[in-house]
Amino acid sequence: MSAGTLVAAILTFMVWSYLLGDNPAFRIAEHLLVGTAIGFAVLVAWFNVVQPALFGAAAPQSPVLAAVPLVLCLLLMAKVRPAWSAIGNIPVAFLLGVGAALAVGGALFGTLWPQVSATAGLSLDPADYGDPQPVLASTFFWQNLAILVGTIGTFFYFAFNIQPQGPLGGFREAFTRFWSGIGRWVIMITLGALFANTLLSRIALLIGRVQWLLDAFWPAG
Amino acid sequence: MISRTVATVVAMSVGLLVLADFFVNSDSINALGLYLVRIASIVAAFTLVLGMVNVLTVHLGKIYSRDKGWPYSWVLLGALFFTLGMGFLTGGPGSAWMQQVFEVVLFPLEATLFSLLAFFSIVAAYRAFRVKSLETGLFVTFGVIVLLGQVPIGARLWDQLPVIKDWVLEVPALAGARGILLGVALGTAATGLRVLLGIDRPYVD
Repeated sequence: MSAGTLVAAILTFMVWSYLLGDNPAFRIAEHLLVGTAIGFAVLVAWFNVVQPALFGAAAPQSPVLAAVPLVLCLLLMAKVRPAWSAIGNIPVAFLLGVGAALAVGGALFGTLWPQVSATAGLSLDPADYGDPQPVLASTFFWQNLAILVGTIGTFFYFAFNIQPQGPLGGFREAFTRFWSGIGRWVIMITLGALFANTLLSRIALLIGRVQWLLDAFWPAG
Repeated sequence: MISRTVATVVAMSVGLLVLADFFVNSDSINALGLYLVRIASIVAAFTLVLGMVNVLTVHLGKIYSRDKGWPYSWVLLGALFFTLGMGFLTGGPGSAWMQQVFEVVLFPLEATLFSLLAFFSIVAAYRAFRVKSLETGLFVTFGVIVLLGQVPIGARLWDQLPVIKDWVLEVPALAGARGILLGVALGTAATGLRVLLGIDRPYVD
């Protein structure tokens, strides 16, 4: 067994020791993880993003274009001192401006459009799936109808919670309440399924660590 | 005041230019959008360095003032400087030495920490799986179906359980996830537009 395996095994037990309560071994492992993870993240950011983009082959040819990110990084350093913090707002505003634009574009073209298309594109005609049965006897019809109703209901639960006023206000409220009620049920089913999947993935990780320890200390054969 | 105005102008102009890149098919706009996103990725990566400086300041302060748990700050700083030093001396995170650090320290710690969540998830499941209303009944029933449908013992108990589990994931769970995604996307777009139009200015102190 290598020294690396032994260290990894000791660290594994140090983390698991938390099951007995908060203790110094877990605290050491926790701080070791934070220190190493920050160091690793900074190295990746520096060697894979900052260095190639500012000084490497990926840097723009024009000195003016190359200077812009450098200036923004220098301005960002002003955030370290509270008295100069206002100057650091400019690169933060730059980041949030780009981030907001990417978020809007991503939400519209990456989520909203594909999800709406997928829901609207659901065919309720069994013939489209090669199913020779009549509509009401087809599984495809009922499944797609359930997806359609569930999606609309969930959407209503989140999006339409304003108390309707004026003529037909009572009818609109009843209509909204009906759909959001369906949405609440569908959300609970979804959350139940998601919780079960999360629980299983964590158990799979636990089994993976135990299996690694068994392989390291008692290799098969 | 001036810095507020400058920051707002920067956020709005840069954001609207990047947003225009999504809608306008022009070579110059596309190149400008790509350039702005690249700069943003450099600045975002640089914020990690500032984050590290902040962690250093906090933990050095803890050591200096002998706050509760200060000896652990030495462990954190030691691990941080060791990783950084090793990375810069051996040529970056892709070097063989850094891969060793990843395999021996980082991966076991992260994987074990997440595996620890299995115990807490089970405790959470015990608390959550108490039926008090129709909604919690649905949550529990479908949670148990998906849970048992994915493990071999589920199929042993009832051979239709994996089939029902597949149906749950493909029909109601898909519909719910789709509705939630639509809601989240609308919320994201609305929040992003408020920043781009200068209604919300989270970048101003």
